[in-house]
Amino acid sequence: MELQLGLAPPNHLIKGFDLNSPEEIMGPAKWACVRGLCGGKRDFDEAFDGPIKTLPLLWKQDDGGDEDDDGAQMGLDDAHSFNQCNNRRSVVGWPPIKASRKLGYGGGSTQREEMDESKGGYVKVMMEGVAIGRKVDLTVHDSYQTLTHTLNNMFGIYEKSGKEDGAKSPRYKLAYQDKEGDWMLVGDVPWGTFVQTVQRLKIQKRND
Amino acid sequence: MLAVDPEPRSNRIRQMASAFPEEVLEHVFSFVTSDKDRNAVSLVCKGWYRIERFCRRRIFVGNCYAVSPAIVTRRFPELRAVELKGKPHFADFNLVPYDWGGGVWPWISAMAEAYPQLEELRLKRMVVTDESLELLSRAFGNFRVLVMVSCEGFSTSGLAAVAANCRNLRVLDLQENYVEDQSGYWLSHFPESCTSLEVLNLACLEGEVNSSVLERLVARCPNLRTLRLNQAVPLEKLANILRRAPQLVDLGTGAFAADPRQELYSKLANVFEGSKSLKSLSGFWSVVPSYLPAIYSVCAGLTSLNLSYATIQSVELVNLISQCHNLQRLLVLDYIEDSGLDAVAASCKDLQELRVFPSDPYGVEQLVSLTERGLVAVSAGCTKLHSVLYFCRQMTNAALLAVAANRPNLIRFRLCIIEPRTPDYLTQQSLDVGFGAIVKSCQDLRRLSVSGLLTDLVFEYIGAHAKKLEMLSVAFAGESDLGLHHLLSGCKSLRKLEIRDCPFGNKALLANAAKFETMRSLWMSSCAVSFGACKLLAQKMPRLNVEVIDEVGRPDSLPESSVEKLYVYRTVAGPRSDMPDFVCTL
Repeated sequence: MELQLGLAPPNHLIKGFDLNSPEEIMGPAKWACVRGLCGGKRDFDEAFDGPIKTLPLLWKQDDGGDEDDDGAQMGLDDAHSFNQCNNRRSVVGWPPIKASRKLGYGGGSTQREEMDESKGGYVKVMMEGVAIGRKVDLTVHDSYQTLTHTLNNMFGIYEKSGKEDGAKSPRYKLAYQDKEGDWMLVGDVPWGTFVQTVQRLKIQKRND
Repeated sequence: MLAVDPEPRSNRIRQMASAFPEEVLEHVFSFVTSDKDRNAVSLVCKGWYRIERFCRRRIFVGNCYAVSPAIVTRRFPELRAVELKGKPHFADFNLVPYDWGGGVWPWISAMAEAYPQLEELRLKRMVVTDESLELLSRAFGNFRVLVMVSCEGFSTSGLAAVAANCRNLRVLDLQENYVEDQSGYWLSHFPESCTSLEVLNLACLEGEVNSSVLERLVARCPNLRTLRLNQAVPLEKLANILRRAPQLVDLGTGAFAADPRQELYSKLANVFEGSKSLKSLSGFWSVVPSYLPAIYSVCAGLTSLNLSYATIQSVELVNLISQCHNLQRLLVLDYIEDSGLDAVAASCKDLQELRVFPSDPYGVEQLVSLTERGLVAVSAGCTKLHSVLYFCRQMTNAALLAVAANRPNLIRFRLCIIEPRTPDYLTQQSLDVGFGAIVKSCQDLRRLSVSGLLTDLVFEYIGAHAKKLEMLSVAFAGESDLGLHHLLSGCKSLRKLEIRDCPFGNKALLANAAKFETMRSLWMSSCAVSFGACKLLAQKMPRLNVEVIDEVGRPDSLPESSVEKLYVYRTVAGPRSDMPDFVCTL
């Protein structure tokens, strides 16, 4: 399974876009960006006049996905690449179920016990072309979906939609270094195994 | 002629207050047990404040950072029982970083000096190390009650210390903690001389416990009324253990599975028949349905039944539950389905609390037939129902209106529609009107969790009607700051507000800054709050701690940048000193 990082421009990247027509930018998904961050003063009344929309962390899984590659679309509505299976673990902490209940759902010990105690669950993430690395806490994630979602937010990764790869934009691939020091593509092994063996992560551009 | 009151009222009060010797006042105060009332007593006058603080025996600290151990020990020198809560509620769902805080060590070390006579400690969502438990076990000679709920940071070594050193231990109640299992033999550290146990709850432990040690411990504690085993205790051992404690009122089984064997079944059925006092049952991991009839003899007496780990089908669940005519509390998986809830509504007329958990929370499709109909059925049939936690995949306004009309006596209503922003599936509209009906009808509602597609309107309803609401959980709802503003300006009794993934931002936060001093805490994550606004709030309200939590990078000091997680709480202790570097108090 090749994990394609989905689309989720974090708030600070929104400045460049035309905020007056959020649909144009983001497809049918019902969200826009945080107005307050995009310049322009607003007074108290204005705030209560119109909706302030935020960019939620949840991906709304679109049924068809938009095959037509509308130039303005960033393809946020195409969650195909994002949710590869019937599994909806795409948001941290939702639905609100305590971890002790999750024991029944995937068996085995809690995710915290699978982590290397000394790291406290954090692994370094480097992205090609970005000087400063980040750290991500794997203990709060329980699937590849939530992890890539967080990484999207962290690094501001987005790409065009559509299953056909028009080769117009680079896709990113996510690799990890395991305990033996080898670099592997993320997604080949079950999440539990991955979590026990991952030492660091790397996001690389990939051109086909 | 003007009549002038010769004795101003304040003088009269002072005279009355000092009319009684201190001992009498102390005696009177000893009947005042609720925290609120004790606090009120202490505010009457300086004299009462002084007397009250010396005779206060128990305190409850809802947020361990609202006050410091030093302040508490200074004011109340004679405490015997302390209850502390640490992390905010959303920590249960992994929204609070692991090392955010909530360590109990500073409290235990302060109390070790100040309260050698401490008897009871209750902790919730705190980080408890083995060192803390070891100190506790040595510092308090008459320690009796240890309750830890949703705590973490300790192992069975810490428990061994408690077992070994607390010679008068009556209660060891471990609920949903993360415990590192190092050895099942910690239980052997209870000395033979320990016979005082009344409550032993081990359900959250993952490792094995030595069954014969457990059996002997149970046998020598005649006052044991609550025993909750963990999943690792096999069904074969249950009968032997239970036989040693026929006086049990509350039993948590271990795994309820074995190869169907007549002799084991008979043994079990026999011993349950002898447990005439059982009122509460839980556990039931890995249930094999053919063993369930072994407990039928106790069903009539049960008031509490937790089947939320029992992955069995509706028919089997109903066979069991429909015999529990005195049931007041039921926890179950959605395997029960609407048909099962119909049976509950018919059989359990005394039901007060219902919790239905999802069997497949991460799946996309609805695999079990549990819908809004089950909820409505129970609301209609169970007239004493006051607390509901319900996970489902579809809802309608009509159903919520029905629930509101049926059950105006609801105190807690927590509805979780699994897919965020799900509308009324019949009308495709938002569920504002449905929840609005709930808050209009249920005047005593104290706790509410909303879900589904919701606009600002629902918050207008909540602000206008939910006057007794103390705790509100909101996720993926609302459209603008107006929603948050309605809540903060309307809900008079609001103490805890937790919000995630809602487009609420700075305006409402700042316009209602003063509200936060009347509340215990506010949590906002993945909303639209800027760093600059948080700073402003902190400047405006010096008696609040405004914590910005940002794991992605260091908390960004650009005023425009959006805050990942915000935790605001009132405190008299100032900013805390134990923050990790991804948290900063502004």
